[in-house]
Amino acid sequence: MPYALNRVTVPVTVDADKCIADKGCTVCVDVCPLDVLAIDLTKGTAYMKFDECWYCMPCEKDCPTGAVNVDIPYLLR
Amino acid sequence: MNELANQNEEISAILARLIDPDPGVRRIAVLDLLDTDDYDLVAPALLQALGDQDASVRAEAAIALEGFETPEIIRGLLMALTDEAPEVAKAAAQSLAELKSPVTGVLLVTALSTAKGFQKASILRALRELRVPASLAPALAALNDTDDTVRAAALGVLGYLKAPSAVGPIAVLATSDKAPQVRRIAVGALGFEAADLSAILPALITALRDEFWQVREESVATLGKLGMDQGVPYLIEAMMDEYWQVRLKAARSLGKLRSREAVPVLSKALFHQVSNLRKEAAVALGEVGDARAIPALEKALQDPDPDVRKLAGLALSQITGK
Repeated sequence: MPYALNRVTVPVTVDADKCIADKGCTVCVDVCPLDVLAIDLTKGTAYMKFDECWYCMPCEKDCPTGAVNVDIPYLLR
Repeated sequence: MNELANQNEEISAILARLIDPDPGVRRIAVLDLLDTDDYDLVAPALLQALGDQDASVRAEAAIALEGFETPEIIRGLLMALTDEAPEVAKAAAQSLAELKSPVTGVLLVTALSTAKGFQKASILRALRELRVPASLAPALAALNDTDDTVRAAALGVLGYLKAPSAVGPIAVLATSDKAPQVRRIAVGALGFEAADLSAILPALITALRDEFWQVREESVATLGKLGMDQGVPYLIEAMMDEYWQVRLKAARSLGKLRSREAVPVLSKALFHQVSNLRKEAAVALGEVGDARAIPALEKALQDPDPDVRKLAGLALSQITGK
């Protein structure tokens, strides 16, 4: 599986100011069917670890603070 | 045994987070609580969270309490309907609307007597699907409420109850309520009443002259739903409505009633500029099954819209029996 480490942009972005992973929240990680999100323990925020998105949207929809944004490619909209 | 001990440990850890000074932590604890299966432990904890000092925690608890039907929890949610934070009140209303057991209806009806505004509308909304006979009288009384949303919710309750005694009051609202949305819902609620068609028809005919097209649309749909042959002349007239949406529902109703008188107007609608209406007219002509429609349907086989062509073909085979 390709790692997203070298990529400049990934489809799922997390607003670090809104993310409350530091308070024990793992909603986006739990709902992702592909398990491509993870919590960055050093920063205390969620991030996209693997760039394999299906654009299914529960992470954005279920995020309790609205911190997750899924950027759907133009041709899939 | 080990597994049970682990689970208890896990729940204790969540319960500890539920009294954390940080509201963000408490809110996440509410979410985690739901993932555990021990409802005996979870319910009181959620109820406690519903009384939290932070609105975001209360809202999360109100959402989480969906599906719990014990009296304490219903009382808690009813209280939350008057919460100062709108998101808490809305979440409580949503959870109450998901109640399934008719036994809970007694509590809701009791709460109705002192409720008003949003609270009252939400309780009526919750009562709707429970169909408890005790909700008839308060719902009828709520038809005179000054709040539009309360009247609309009360109509929902009456529509689900299908009580013959409600036909008269619903018909009054259908024809003379000041809010178009309420009139529309009232007209739709008349579609559930199969008791006394003679009281319903005049109200529906008046609603056909309503200045708001959504009310007219609902009225023609209800005429078809009730299968009232006396409605045919009015439905044919509605095929001349300035809104194609009204004509579309009228065509559907005429098809349902298998009205031969409607063949000329339906054939004409087969060439309207809106393809949705053309499709509906083709389907209706097929249902009516009158051979006079064949030339028009054959012409519709050349329609620019493939769906219309397909449905015209289907209608033709329905009529000719081939």
